[in-house]
Amino acid sequence: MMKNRYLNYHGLRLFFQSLDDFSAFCRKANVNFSMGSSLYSDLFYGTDSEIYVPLWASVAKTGEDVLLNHITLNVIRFYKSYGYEPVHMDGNPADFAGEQLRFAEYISACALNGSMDLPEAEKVLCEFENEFLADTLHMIQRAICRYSDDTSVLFISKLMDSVISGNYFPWDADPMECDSYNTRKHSAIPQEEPHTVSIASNSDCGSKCKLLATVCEGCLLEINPDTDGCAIRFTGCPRGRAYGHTFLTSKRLRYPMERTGERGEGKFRRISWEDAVRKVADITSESGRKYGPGSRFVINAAGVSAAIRGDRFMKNLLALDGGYLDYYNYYSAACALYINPYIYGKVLAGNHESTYTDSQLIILWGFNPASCHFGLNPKEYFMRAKGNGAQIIVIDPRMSDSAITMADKWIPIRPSSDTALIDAMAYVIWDEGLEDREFMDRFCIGFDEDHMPEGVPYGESYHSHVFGIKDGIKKTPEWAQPITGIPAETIRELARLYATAKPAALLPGFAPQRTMVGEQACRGFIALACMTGNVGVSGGSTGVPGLKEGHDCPGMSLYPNPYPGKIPVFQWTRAIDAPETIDPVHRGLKGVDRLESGIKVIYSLASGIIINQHSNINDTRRILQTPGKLDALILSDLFMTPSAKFADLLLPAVSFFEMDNIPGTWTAEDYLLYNHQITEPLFGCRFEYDWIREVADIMGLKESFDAGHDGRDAWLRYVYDQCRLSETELPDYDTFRENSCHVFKNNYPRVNFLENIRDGVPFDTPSGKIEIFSKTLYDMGRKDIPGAPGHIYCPEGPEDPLQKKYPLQLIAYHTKRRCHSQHNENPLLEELDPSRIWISTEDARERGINDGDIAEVFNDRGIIRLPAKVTDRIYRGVVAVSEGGWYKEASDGADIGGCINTLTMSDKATPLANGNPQHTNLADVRKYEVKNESN
Amino acid sequence: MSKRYIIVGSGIAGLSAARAIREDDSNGQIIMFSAEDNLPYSRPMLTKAPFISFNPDDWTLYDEDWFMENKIELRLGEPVTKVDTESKVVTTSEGSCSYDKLIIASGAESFVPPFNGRDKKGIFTIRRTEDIISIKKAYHSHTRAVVIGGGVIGLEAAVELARYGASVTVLESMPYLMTRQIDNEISDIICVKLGELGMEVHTGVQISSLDGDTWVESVSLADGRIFPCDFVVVACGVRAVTSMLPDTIDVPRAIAIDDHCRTSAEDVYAAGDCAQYNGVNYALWSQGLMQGYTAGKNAAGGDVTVGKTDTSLVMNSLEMSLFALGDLGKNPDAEYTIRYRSSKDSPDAFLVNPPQGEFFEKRYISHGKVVGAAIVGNLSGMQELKDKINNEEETE
Repeated sequence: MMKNRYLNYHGLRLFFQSLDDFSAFCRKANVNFSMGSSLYSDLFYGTDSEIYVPLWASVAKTGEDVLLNHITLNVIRFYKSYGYEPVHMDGNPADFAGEQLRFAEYISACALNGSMDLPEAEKVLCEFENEFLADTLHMIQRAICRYSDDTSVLFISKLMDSVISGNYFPWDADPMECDSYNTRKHSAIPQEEPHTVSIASNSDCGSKCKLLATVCEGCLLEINPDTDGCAIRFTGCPRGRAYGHTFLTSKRLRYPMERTGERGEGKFRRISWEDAVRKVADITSESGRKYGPGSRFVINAAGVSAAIRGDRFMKNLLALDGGYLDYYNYYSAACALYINPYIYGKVLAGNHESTYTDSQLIILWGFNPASCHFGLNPKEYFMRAKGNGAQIIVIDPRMSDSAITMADKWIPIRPSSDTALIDAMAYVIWDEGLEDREFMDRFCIGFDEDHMPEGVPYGESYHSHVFGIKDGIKKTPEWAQPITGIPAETIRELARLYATAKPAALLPGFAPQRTMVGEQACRGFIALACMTGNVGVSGGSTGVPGLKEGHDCPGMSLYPNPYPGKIPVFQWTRAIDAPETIDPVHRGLKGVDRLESGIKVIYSLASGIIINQHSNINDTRRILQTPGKLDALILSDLFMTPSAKFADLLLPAVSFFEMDNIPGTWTAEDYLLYNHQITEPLFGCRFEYDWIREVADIMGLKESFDAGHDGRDAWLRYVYDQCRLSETELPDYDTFRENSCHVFKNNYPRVNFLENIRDGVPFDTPSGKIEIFSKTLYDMGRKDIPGAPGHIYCPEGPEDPLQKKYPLQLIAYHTKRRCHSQHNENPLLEELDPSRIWISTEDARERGINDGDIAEVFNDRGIIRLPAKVTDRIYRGVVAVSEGGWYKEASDGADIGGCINTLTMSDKATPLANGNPQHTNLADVRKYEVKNESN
Repeated sequence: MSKRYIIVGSGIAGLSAARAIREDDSNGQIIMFSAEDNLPYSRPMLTKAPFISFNPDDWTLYDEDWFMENKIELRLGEPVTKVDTESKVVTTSEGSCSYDKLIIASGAESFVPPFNGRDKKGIFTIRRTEDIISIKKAYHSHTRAVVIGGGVIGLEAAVELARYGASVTVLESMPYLMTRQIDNEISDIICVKLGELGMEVHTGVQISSLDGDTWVESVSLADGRIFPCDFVVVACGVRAVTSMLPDTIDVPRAIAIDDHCRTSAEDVYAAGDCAQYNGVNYALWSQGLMQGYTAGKNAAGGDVTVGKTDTSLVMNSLEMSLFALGDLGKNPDAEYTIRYRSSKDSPDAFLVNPPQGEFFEKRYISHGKVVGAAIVGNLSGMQELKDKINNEEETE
């Protein structure tokens, strides 16, 4: 009996170990068995994006798709108490079905070979099966039988039945010939006690927290914010506490894969790391040879926002191999970054959030700090100001969490109409003589005709624009009312309040500058801040979103790129599809006059851009699926993301739980954190650097790639030490690593431009003043890039005649449940804000849509199908979908994952920065009629 | 001289009695006999806990230390086979033992109606931890399970079996589910919810036989319908365990007790699932708790009468939640007004968890008072309703 039992464990263990080993065992035992290797790979290695077979007790016992949880720990403890040390078969966690069987095999072998009493062995096995193995095998059975009714699958299912039921399959084999037969019983192995490890994530979050992970035997038991580990009190947020459910999941990519199906189909085969590295080297060398260095593009990535990161290492390798096409700007703040130097003479022109505690009035304009962390706890400072008596007004098309929890007043506004509201406020301020004339005259040029640069004809100043000198239209509140949807009287009150409350902080978010008129919005905010004399004042603001100055943060510098060409990040699809249309004037090409090759190879390392975060997904799909356009997409990620499905080479990466790093604190915070690894890399996952270095080796570039830093730790140390050159108070690396945290002592208050205003230091602009009117821009001679701030026509904005066809304006909003596309699959966080189409009660009623009905928001670019959230929390005429939902194509082509970029545009970009206008979209909504399908 | 108390059974009624005795009598000897081998555990968790994470150790009520500290002699795996009220001695599987005060808390066993073929293999009931383990062992891929009995235990088991991966059919002989506690409309809503989980529910059926060779393979109905299956779970209620009792104790269906939990025999008390008070035995946890406490207090010399117990029905799993209490239109002579509320009526901007926030509530009002109510879905309004019904509050 025990002999049979042993053989059953043994056989099934071999199956989970490798198809070949099991097939050989069957042959020897005269059992007819044959399973296709692709079926095996799809079921047990996760090479088909449509197939998911969990193989671990952690999932079986909780119903959650989580690895390395308390169940895994219980399994390890069980093993250890009977002297079994897990071997982590194929990189699996210790509670992998194969390893469980290996343990059962060990116990039964011990009973057979006499190193353990038979009754005790039986008791142990019974207990182990009841507690872990039966549920694990049941779960696997269910899953594999759902995907396949192949006889081989049914046979395996039968073998699992026989193990669980005790009606053992009669293997015709000699136990003594099996590899594990002679294993002797070991005495109990000492067990680790739970302990805490200081961690901090790589997420692209503006408020990195120091967290404490409770860890035991490499299993994650709990995460809590470290509330007394250093001088800053880290509060943590739901995302941080739920990191385990995001990153240590059974949906992780496990092994390197190569595409077998059509691009985007999500079908792959497992390959070895040796093959994968060789292929990356071949693709890289060949594209360089065939098309030139500019054919290679490392796409914008924020998945590892930390000191050492894969995309930078890849760029460095390419730089050593002739170069690569680089990009500038980024998706979050293209317009703000681009325009600030024209006006203020520098990019980082915002104030530190602590200064807003002095404010009398705070206007959060398209800014939702209750959900979005920009800097450590900005909301706390705003609430402190409120406690001091400040009034908080939220201007947003959506009644955001900030509007609910922080604001005294919510002013709903039509998207992409910010410039009209700004103009009307400026009109009121001037008209009623509320402007700070002295400030405007002393520090600015371009407000009025008396303060203009040389050589500009009459009528180009901002005042002339507002009072309609050229177009005859006075930008009154009544004029703005139909554009913005805000009653004229509300605009008047707002303008008066802003101009008279001193100091007052107008704080835009990045949202208004992610519209088609993003540059003009940025310029308008700054104009208002200057008109009211709030620049250079604590409690005032510069009108610049975020982008404050602060401490350095360790970050890898790049090797010089021999190829000079750079494109705006938003133009990468165009650079594949129609590279000949990319020019310096309209498409922002820099460094070269034209692209001699389109992008042929993309390296996407920890990025969600390809299919999800970039606009117009259906067009991107077309481009990626048209033969001859893109030769190779090399992609490294943690999960089978919408982008990963399009990869040609798909490489599994490690999460921040599996490696040390120094998270990026957005380069301006008052503290630095160190992240400690808590567990070994899962499966065949590797940090990108490790394989890029091997690629460098094959390409004969290893020595220059290393530049004397012969490993990951050496790089981390080097990058930190580089930062210490400017941040001299930082302790040595080992001390910092030990402390896991450094809070800077030499913090300065950082009211931007304080010296310029107080001491008259000239601004770093051509005129030495704040250039409300920029002659540099004016001289470009483009109608869509005026010399002054002010409302301009916005395609797909509130005044576009296309509204007749698509009467609703569609925007995205940042949700507290995600950080961009991260955490989308985390079920704990989904509950915070399930993906919905937000639609106003009136708009829904007109369309016969009730709350919870399945609805479709659509335009010429695509369809998103989601349940409707019918609510008074969104302005009439506006619909919203949260940003970052994973694109998921239904059989009819609609997106049922809720990815806003199914409907956003990529053919047009903002005029100057070539930025992404992702909040400027027209669309309509209809109720989805479920088609009656049989079955 | 200290008294010797014997408690038959280690369920919640027995434990509650032991605790009550200790409150008033710190010296008396307490001996508790249990037919089961496990430390006392929370029995409702057999079906209220997910099958997948089922681990009886998680539901242990009191560990060995507690019994030591309270000087309670717990004899596991030693069922009482005979009670002699004349000589005040109980006989167990291991020997005999005299008592001064005896508390019968022997509980109940699952009842399997006399179906044809009920002795076949593959027919399970749920009363003990081994039952869950046996059911899980019988599971395999493509498992079809038939659950006979659409009461709370049957439905909880059915939901968990479905979550575990089985195709489940529920057969109920009454015209709708849980006829004692809910009404037809609530039953229909539940049937729809169960249907969404992939379950089939058939009510008003008459089982004619359980068929198969040695292992059950199908369930046949009187109307000719046949449900093929891999195993059957019978959840048709329980019967009090009283076979060890002598004639001196009055046992109509269960052991008759008075308001002091006294039986008809002197110095013998009874509590919980084995007892009936005023002719009623709901076999509820709350009732066992209350009666055990009353019996214990009185056995230790007190004068305590049974209080009101919470008779509400609560099912609360990931997939389905149900609360019901009171009279849902069962009195043919009463006139009721019915009021509905649902999450649809109160769109709440702050609702954090909308899918789990949905609910449907039905109230029965008679003479200006809420006399009964049920909620399906989010049960956060449950306590408020309980108070209204239990306190017989006037409706506004």
